[in-house]
Amino acid sequence: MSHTVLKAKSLALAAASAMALMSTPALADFPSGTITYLNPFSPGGECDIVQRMQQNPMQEKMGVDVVIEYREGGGGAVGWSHVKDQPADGYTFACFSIPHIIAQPMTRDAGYETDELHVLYTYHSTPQVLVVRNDSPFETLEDFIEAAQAAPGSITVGGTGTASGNHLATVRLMRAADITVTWIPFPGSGPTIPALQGGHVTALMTNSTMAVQNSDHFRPLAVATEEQIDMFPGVPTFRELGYDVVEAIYRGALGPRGIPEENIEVIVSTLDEINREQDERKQEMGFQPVFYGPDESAELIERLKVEYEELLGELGMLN
Amino acid sequence: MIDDLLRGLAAVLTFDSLLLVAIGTTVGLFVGSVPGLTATMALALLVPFTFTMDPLSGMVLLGAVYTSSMFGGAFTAILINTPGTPGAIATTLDGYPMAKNGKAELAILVATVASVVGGLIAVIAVIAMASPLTDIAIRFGPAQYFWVAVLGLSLIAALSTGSLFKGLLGGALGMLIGTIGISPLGGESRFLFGYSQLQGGVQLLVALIGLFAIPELIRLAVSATKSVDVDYSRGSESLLHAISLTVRRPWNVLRSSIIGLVIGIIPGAGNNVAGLVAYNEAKRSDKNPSSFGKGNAQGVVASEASNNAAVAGSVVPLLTLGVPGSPPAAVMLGALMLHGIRPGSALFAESGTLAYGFILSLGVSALALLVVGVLGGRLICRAVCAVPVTYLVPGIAFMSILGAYSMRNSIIDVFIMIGIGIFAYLVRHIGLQPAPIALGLILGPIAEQGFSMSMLRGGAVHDVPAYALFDNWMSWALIAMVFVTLFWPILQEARRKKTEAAEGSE
Repeated sequence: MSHTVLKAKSLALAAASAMALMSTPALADFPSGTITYLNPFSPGGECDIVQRMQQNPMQEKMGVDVVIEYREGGGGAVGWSHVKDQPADGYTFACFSIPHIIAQPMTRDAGYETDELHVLYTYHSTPQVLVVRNDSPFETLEDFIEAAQAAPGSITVGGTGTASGNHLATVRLMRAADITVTWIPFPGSGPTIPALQGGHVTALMTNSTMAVQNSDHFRPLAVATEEQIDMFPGVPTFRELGYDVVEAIYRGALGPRGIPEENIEVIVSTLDEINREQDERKQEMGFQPVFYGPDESAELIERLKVEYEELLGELGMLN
Repeated sequence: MIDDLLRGLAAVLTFDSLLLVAIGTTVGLFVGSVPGLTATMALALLVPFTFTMDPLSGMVLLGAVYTSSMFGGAFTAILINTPGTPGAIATTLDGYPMAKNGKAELAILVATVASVVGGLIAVIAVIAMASPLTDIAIRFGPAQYFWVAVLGLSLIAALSTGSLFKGLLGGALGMLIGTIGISPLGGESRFLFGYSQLQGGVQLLVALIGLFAIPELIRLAVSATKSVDVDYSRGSESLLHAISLTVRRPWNVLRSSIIGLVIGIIPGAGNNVAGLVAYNEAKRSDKNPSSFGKGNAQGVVASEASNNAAVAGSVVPLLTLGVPGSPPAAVMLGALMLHGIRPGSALFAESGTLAYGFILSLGVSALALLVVGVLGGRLICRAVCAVPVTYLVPGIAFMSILGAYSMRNSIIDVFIMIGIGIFAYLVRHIGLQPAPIALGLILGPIAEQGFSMSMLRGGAVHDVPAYALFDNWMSWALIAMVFVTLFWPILQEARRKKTEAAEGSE
């Protein structure tokens, strides 16, 4: 039922935006209708958790309904290629994650190009962490690297997917330390936890959220941030130990290209306010909040594009 | 632990909690009995409402919806041969023939009783043995996933009524459909035919509606009958009859519940497969296996006891490891995190009241199914039987399209559903049944993932990668089960012929 309503609404929206184009570009009264905040992943994922946290405050601050719509598939590609074709009026935007939106179009025909999407705001990162089981013989990163040097390929590192944040962080580590480990891609971050607990992999390259939530079973060896972070007190960064590995998954909101400036400002300031209010709570959950507007987000993407192109090229994965 | 258990019990047996259970089971029944509305979706929509509640109340509500929607899937399975949830695929095998024989209401009552008993047994088991049960989830590695999937696929041999070859062909077709999309390992796109929307693959529920509901609708429409051929002349059935039917074979209920519990614990395999495994075991151990598939109430008992036991099973890794055993459990994990509660082994120590209260509430929800099932079941059963086909077919068609669309808000999914439906209708005439196709679609990706991951791990730890599939006693136990499943029907057949021959010679 709600879907037919949604459909009717999107038709109405299309008509409204067409009219807006014919008259004047000024849309001072944005937003005046329902906002669709698309989730390209499944319910219960990390986009879902954040979007559900933001939904109510967004409705209060913007004074309109915010509907979370699921369009999962292809590691988010189905959702993002849908968003790029939506009217650029600010009424439809989606949760995104980096490296996905950069790596997918590089490695296959994902149905969208990175530049067809406009990143409006980046609200947090989940830095990558190398963890082993509490009872693992590897006490430090050095132990891990020595073992990998002694028997190249014999150490297995698990994580989510291929060309994902987990994977790219592992590739960066292999490059920086000149070691070879066997990468084992899991279908999602959930199954990696029992896999490490059950000893089916030697280590995990995982998100800070997963490492924080499982801190009573897992020992972090190093964090892939520039400096040490509060949620892992006393855990060194890869850089401190002499390996240039900095990798994180960034999440935020993106829309199609061409949304009017004024509307972008409304969305960005709303998300920024909420993000600052929820700062502490998100850190407890293992998210590292960032507050990047459209320009800083674009800089981030441009920088990572160059790095990922090189990494994926080395892996022979470029399309 | 006893303290926490009692405090949890006290927290669940309050008016507020019981009210939430009542609301949750009603919502869940509706969601479960409409093909295409999923428990996952309903839970995701409810999560914001739980913000204002205390964590336990929120989890009680979500748990009730989850429990009840698993059960609701049986209604459509019995009445219109369409599993409302993937867990109810095995319920169609005997539930629908029962309805055709005029025992629709009895089938629903039996499903209700079996669900209640399965749910209760699993809750008791989880409370008593949460930590050893967690071990099962941890021990399952890629190789075990592969063998579980093979075990599931070998069920086709047992489930095929008629030709084994056609059953295997159906399974292979399902596995082929399951390869559409982005490959799980390398991330390559497969069989997209130029449509980037196909990157997400064929959604299981979209395929299920297509496989089961559409052929039934076409059949109803062309049969030119006035109402469904669910014969309703027998009048109302007594609950006592249903209870006696269920309890008469206590071993069947118990075994099915244990199967559901254990398979539910394994993250990912989940309750989609539990019902089918339990059904197969019931059929195999019965004195008269050929009565299955023709309306044997024990088939319904096995499937329903097991898929409701799987609900309690799937919350074990959720609570003890923070790993969701099923998509609905993933949403519940999100809800817990939003309340600032960190699942894991510390949960039972730090928030014992919450953990035990939540598990106990699943038992209360299971009991509530008795009320909801008996009242709602009769109502829905009569309504479906009373509505003339001229209204029923468009009504169900409308719900099916809505359901397929709502899964990902995608019109492509609607076309996929209709395409698969017409295909399933056509191949039914040459003897291809929908259940093996569905089984292939569910298990193909699990098998592929398990196989490729095992080979990768094997390359790291063994000289020959394939050793990784055999280097653990659990793998060997599963392999033994595969052989038993494959060759039991043949043995049984041989023994039957032998006894017949012996009798004939006398």
